[in-house]
Amino acid sequence: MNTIEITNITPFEFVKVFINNNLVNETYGLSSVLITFDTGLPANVEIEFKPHKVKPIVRYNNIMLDYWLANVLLQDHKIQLTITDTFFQDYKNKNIEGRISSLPPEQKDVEHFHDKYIGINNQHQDLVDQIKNLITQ
Amino acid sequence: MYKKVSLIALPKQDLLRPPAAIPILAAICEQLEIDYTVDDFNLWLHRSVSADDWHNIDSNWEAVNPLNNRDQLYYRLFQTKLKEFVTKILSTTPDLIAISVFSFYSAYCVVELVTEIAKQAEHNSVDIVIGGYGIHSQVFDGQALSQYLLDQNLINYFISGEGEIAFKKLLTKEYNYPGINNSDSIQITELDQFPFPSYKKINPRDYNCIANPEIMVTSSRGCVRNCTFCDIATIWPKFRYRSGQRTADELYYYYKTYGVVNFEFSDSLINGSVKSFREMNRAILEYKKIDPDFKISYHGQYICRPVGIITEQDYAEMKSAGCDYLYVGIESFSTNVRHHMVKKFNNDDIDFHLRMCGRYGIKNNFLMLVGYPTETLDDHEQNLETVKKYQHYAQADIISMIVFGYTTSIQEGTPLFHMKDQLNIVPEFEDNPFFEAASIMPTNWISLDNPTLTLVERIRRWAELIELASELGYLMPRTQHYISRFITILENTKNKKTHYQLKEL
Repeated sequence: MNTIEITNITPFEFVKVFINNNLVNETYGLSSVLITFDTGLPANVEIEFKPHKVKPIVRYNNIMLDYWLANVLLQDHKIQLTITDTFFQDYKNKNIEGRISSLPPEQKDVEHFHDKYIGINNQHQDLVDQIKNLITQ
Repeated sequence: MYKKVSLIALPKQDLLRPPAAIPILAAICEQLEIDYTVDDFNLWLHRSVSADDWHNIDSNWEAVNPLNNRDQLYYRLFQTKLKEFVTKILSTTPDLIAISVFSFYSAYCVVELVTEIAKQAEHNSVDIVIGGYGIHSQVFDGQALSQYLLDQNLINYFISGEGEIAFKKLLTKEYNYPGINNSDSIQITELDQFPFPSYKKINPRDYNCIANPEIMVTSSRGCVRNCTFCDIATIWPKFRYRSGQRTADELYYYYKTYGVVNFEFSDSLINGSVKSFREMNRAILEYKKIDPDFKISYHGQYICRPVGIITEQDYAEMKSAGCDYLYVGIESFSTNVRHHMVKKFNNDDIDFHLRMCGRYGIKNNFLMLVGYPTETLDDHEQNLETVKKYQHYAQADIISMIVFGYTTSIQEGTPLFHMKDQLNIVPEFEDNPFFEAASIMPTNWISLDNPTLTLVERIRRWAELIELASELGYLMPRTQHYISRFITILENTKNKKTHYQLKEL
């Protein structure tokens, strides 16, 4: 079971939620709308709303989404996003990509800066094995 | 009164933002209308050498004894640059040089700096004062750095404890204030009495900020908790906090004066006083109503609190005010372990905290402590299970990072140190020069009440946790650094006699 929630500071005149092009919810005068759906994934979610030209908060499974990480497409009158089986895995990968690109130029391609500041490539299996060997000696 | 002051910051410190102490001292100089210059040697050095050389020089401050590497090329480069730097400082003809010694990792650098000043400065032409937590480092024969440098005539004064009042007294040449050249410093009770730190001569934009310039802000000193492993109470026995309104005023002042919108809190806990924290968030929201362009982000250390003490509305207001990143000392996912630590929150509270952070988009850096003296295998299993349980929060960037640290060490001055008898804690290994030389003596312990938790077992549990967390996609900074440290420890203890072996002898 999945949930999508859309919230605005002021009440929406209306919100229409389409999952895979099927209208699954239509509400009027609320500032927050929560939809539960159990269709298979991937699911294309399209939410039309009024007033136009606002940037509502979107939550998937009660996690507030970053539009860029979640590939949320915002237009004046609607938002679109695709929920997949690997939604948060992809979300995380894009986050790492963004963190690397935000490093100063001289650190972008240097592995120890990735380890130190971003916390990726942290398996260091050779070193962990060295610890294990020392422990079992 | 001194006429011209040179304010100096040293490595090792983050270059993400200006060091916090210097703008505080700058504001005091301005209040007394004393001419001053600001030089951050850390930043200057970073700009003066290549990225690789910088990495080597900067990492060396964490070595067992950085001075042992004097024959390394990077160290010689550091010394050459230091000479240049001192020449530059002295060319401004200050009559007082004030050096901020942030931590233990700055201790050896200050020795090098004041030695070089002594070589280059004309006799008695300039006074030198040092301050900051690092002046208490015991680097030479167990003597405090401050007293050592004073005895060597390499400095004239040191200020222990909080510097705002003592530094002002020193600038007016009143040297008998508590904390000047003694350890009798007194805690400041009213933190709101001082002018805002001044960034007129230290530009936040010069720093290596990731996205936007950032400023360090302090809304409290000390801590409302007395966690057993922490020595904060020895530095600041009493918790003091500013009014939330005054802190919000300061943030707005930085925004209006310097255009800065990113802030890092230096507090042990930004929500140490829930009342003041709430007041600050609401005051920021009021500013936003008046000035909608006042869009800030702030981050700081935060204590997970029992459900009800902090409410959903607090999380909503935190986020709206600009809170986007929290460092949270979770330490252990076992309630029993945390109970012994006196953390005062349970697993339901962590669940609630994460649910709210997920709902309002607040990122967390979880700080963990592996191998606490009472930690059993069952507690360790709970850590492993919870790391699995929270994987989706790591993927969603709500647990943005997790840090498993160095495993538990028992630091002098902590409540744990004073509980040694109660917990039956003894050194695990025979006298081992390695531990002393490596300044990791606090790692050489075993609780005879929990005898299977040896140093090796603590490292094994740590390795198991990072292997699992890595597999599940958690981001963990500096893992390579920690692992290398553990390998060194294991190599240096593998043939040493343990407590039990010694008893059998």
